[in-house]
Amino acid sequence: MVINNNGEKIIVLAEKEDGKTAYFTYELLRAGKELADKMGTKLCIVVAGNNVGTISNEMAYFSAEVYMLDHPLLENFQADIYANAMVQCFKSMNPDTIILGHTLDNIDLASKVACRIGAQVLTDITHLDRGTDNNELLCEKPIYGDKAIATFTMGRSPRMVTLRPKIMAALEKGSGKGTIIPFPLALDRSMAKTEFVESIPGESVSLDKADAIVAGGRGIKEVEGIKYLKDLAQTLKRFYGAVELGASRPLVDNGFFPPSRQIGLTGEKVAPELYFAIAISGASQHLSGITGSKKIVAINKDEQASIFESADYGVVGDYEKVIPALARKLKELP
Amino acid sequence: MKDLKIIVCLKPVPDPECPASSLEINRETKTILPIGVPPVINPYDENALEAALKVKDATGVKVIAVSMVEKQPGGVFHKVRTGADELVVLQDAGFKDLDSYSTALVLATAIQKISGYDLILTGRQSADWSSGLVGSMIAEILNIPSITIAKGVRVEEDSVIVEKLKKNGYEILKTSMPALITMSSEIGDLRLFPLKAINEARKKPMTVWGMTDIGISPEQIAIRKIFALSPPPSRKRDCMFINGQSPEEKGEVLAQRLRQDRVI
Repeated sequence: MVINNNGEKIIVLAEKEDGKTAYFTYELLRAGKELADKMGTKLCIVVAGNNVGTISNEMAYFSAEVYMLDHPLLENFQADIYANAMVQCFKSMNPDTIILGHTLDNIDLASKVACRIGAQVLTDITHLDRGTDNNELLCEKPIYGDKAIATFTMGRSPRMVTLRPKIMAALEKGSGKGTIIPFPLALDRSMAKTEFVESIPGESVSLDKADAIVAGGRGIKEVEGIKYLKDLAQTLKRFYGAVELGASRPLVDNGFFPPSRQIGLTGEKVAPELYFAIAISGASQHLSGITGSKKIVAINKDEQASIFESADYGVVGDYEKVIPALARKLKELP
Repeated sequence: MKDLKIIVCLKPVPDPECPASSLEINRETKTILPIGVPPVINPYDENALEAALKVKDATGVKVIAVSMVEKQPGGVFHKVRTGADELVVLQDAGFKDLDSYSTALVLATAIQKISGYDLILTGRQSADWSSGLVGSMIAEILNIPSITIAKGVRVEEDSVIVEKLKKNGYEILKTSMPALITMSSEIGDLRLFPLKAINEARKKPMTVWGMTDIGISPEQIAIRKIFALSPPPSRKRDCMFINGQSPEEKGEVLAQRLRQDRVI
């Protein structure tokens, strides 16, 4: 007989972007709502930041309880300060399962908070379900570079998971409005174990919101090859609002593209209307980031390249010759 | 100034470049058996070793590599021994399939036994279970500062200056030592070593510690609880190959086809 100490609440940590609710939050909310229904528990939302009244107000349409963690020290993400805030809040909430977005910051946050509240933790989860007995939680996680799927059992609460983006559909807001509970925090600057020196912003990239993406891979040997991708992206702007350039990991490691343009397991997960895979071989680590794409076009001179198995349209040929003709023809289209 | 002591935690994994078909998934035993796939050092952990060597290029450093394995590791550590000054292998049948926290606990306990460390470097995540948790959990257990997913590390007196990747761009952070940093591939691949160094690697000190040597008891650690293993959902799509006499013609036909199918 397993004695199970069950928590009461499924908690979703809202994601912010430029002072607003990030779209990812609605995906997390669907996962949280579905799990709360299955577990027979309730969904709560935690909003953390500085001046997050507007976001909290919006979140109240998705849950009966919104815990608002509003503090000047939460303006920018500092892992220790955020972990302290989360620990104070979660300790008072009797969490069953805490759901975070799988982002660089949250992986760091989850490991710290889990150690401090004694939670079990799993990252990069693609599906949550109720187990057969004792209110166990089943978590699906792609492993070995997305070459296999493991379903983990998580026993006792509290449990923490980070959820992979672009897996769940967004949750629509409900009819009623819940309560906003301002949570008093005891934070001070000395909790931060690292000191901020400066921020080096990269170019602003929004791969997750792109309608069309032109991405290059290992088959692009010279940096001059990038101009073909840029030409195609420019041409696609005739047809799509947001067009971005992307890359698989080899072109980031060799410096052709910044890390913010990396698509795949350790980069962005994308779901555009149209995805061009240019000279990309099709490793599972890259495919894991593009499966949500509506249409995938692969251009590769190697007819054996595995990318063709995951593409809707395939062109066997040298991208330096295919793209200029493709772009020229696209410009001529009425 | 005394030499800095840098500990690099690294892990052997089946070569992540292997095709999916070479991983045999046994649903009964819930195990994955790599068929004909050689073990390699987790690529991000090699990046961590390279980061340690970059610090060593600038100042006096002793690099100690630490790895937790369940059985005799064979030759997988040869490159590590070439780059590091010392290797500590934590080897015990009881270290098989540990969860992230238990892995961190074993590594942290061994690191405490090594003692006198200034920096701990690890890869940002492993290529097999890719949880990305063990590094910062080691720091939590040792109660030292940690910075994750770094692309650069340098030491300045008693501090370490770290370039930490953000969604767009990066930020520069500073912290006191000892500290733990997890490294990403942007730091660069592990360097190539001269033949002489490779030949002499075997002469470097290597220590093997089991569970009792570091004072861990089986009750303190737990294994991953796997309910099921399965192949990934199929990503197969029906690929329509575009025909043409030349690459240029194929490009034009592709444009027409995308219009015809109302993709564009």
